[in-house]
Amino acid sequence: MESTVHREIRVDRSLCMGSGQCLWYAPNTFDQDDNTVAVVIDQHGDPEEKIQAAIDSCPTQAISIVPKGEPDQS
Amino acid sequence: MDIDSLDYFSDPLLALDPYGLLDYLAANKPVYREPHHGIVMVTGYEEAISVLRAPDIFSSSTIVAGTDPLSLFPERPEGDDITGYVNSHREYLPQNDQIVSADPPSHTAQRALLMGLITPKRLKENEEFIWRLTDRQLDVVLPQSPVELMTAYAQPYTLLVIADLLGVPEEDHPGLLGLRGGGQMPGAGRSDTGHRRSTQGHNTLEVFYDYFVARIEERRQQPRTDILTGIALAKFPDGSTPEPIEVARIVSNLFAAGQETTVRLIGTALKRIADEPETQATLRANRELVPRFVEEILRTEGPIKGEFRLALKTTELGGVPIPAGTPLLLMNGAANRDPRQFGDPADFRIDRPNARRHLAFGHGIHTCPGAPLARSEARITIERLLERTTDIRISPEHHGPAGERHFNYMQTYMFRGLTQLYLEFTPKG
Repeated sequence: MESTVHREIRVDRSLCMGSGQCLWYAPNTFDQDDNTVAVVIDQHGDPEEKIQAAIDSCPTQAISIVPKGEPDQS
Repeated sequence: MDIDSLDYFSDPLLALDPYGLLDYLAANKPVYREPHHGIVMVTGYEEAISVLRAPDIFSSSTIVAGTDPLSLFPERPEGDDITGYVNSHREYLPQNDQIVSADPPSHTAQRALLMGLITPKRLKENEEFIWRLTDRQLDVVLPQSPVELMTAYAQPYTLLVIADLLGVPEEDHPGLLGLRGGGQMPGAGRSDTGHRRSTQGHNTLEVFYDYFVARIEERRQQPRTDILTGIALAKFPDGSTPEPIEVARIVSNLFAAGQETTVRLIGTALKRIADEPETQATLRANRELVPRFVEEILRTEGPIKGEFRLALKTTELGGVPIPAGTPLLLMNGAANRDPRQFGDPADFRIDRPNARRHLAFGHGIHTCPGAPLARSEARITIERLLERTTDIRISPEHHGPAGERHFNYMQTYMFRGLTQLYLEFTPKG
C-alpha cells in the first residue's frame, strides 16, 4: 500500500458546500467545522475504498488526493 | 393499514397529513409499487441513496413530469434500456432546459458553473448583510400582530436575500416579482395533485432568461464582486465559456426555484417554535441549538416530499424488479423518517446525533446547491426573532386554540409546506 503513505487528502474550503456527505462514507476521516465546512481529521481514518467513496460522492468535488507535500493550490 | 386503497397522488387528506402513510411505507415497504399509477415509491433511506447515487440508471429527466411521463413522448419507449430514446426526446419533457432535469454528462458541465458560488465560507463572510436584511424585514412584521408570516416575511425576505447575493438591484425587484408569478417550478404553490399532466408551462423559468442574459453580459464586461459575476465568468470543465443563455438558465433556477422551498422551511420551523412553548424556551435559553433545530425540521418535515426519477435500464431495487421505463417517486420526506436510519423517526429531537444525515437537500450529484443559503436564512431568521421578541405564539383567531389547531398545507404530492401561518409576537422592550 505504498500509495496511501505518500498521499494527502485535501478539502478545498472555497468549494465545500457543507453537505456533510463525506462524513457518511468516511466518518473517521472527515468532520465538519463550526461553519459546516469539511475538515480532514485523520488522513488514514477509514479504508481507502471508503475514502474514495467520500471523494466521489462530494457534490462540489471539493475533495482531492494529492501527493504528500504538494503545495496547496486552493 | 390498507395502503393499496390510498392514492397518494390525488387524495387531498394525504396532502394535509402524509406522514402516517409515509412512515408506514418507510418502515414496511421501502420500495413500493403503488397500484393506481404504477409508480414505484422509494421511501427507504438506503434505497433512496442507491437511487441518488446511480444517475445512469435512475434519470432526473422526468423530475417534474407527473405520474405518467412516458405518455409525454411521441411513442412509449420499450426494451431493457431506454437511455438512447430518452436522451433524444428530452424536448418533450417539462423543465428540460433546467439543471434539475439534466443527467451526466450534461449535468456535470452545468453544475461546474455553480461550484463555489454559494458556500458556508462565502455566507459567513456575508453574514452581517444577511442579518441586516433579516432585521429590515422583521421591522415590517413585528409591529403587526397577528401577521401572516409567509406573505409578510418569508417571501419578501427570501427574495431580498437571493436578489442581493446575485447583485440584482432593488429597482428590478418588482419587475422580477411580477415575472415570478409565471415563473415557479411546477407544483410550487399550485395544485399538482390528480392526473393532470404538467405539460403546460413547459419551461416555466423562461420568463427570467432575457433579464439574466443581459445581466450576465454586463458582468462579463464589467465584473463586480457578486455571485452573479462569479457565475458569469465560470467556465465549463473543458475550459470553454458558456453562452449567456446557458448561464441565465442556471441563475434563473437559483433565483426562482430555491425561494419557494426556503419560504416553506421558514414557515414550518416558526410554526413549531410558536406552537411548542417548551421548544421555544429551550431555544431561547440555548441559541447554539438553533442549527440543530433547523436540521431536525428538515429531517421530519422538509419542504420536498418527493421528486420523480425514471428507470432508464431494467434493474432491481430493494428486491423489487424495476423494468426500464418505470417512473419512481423518490421520497426524501419519507426516507428521512426511515426507522432503520433514525430511531423513533416521528419524534422531534433537537439533540438527535445524526439529524444532519437527512436527505432533505438530496444526495449525490443533484444535491441542492442552495442548501447553505437555505440553512443560513432559516437560522438567522430564528436567531433574530428570538432576540427581538419575548414570546412568539400561534394566532388562535386564525388557527384555533392550543390542542385544536388547524393548518392548511400545499395541495401537492411534491412539496410540504403551510399555505398560511398567522403568528402573534410580544416584541422585546
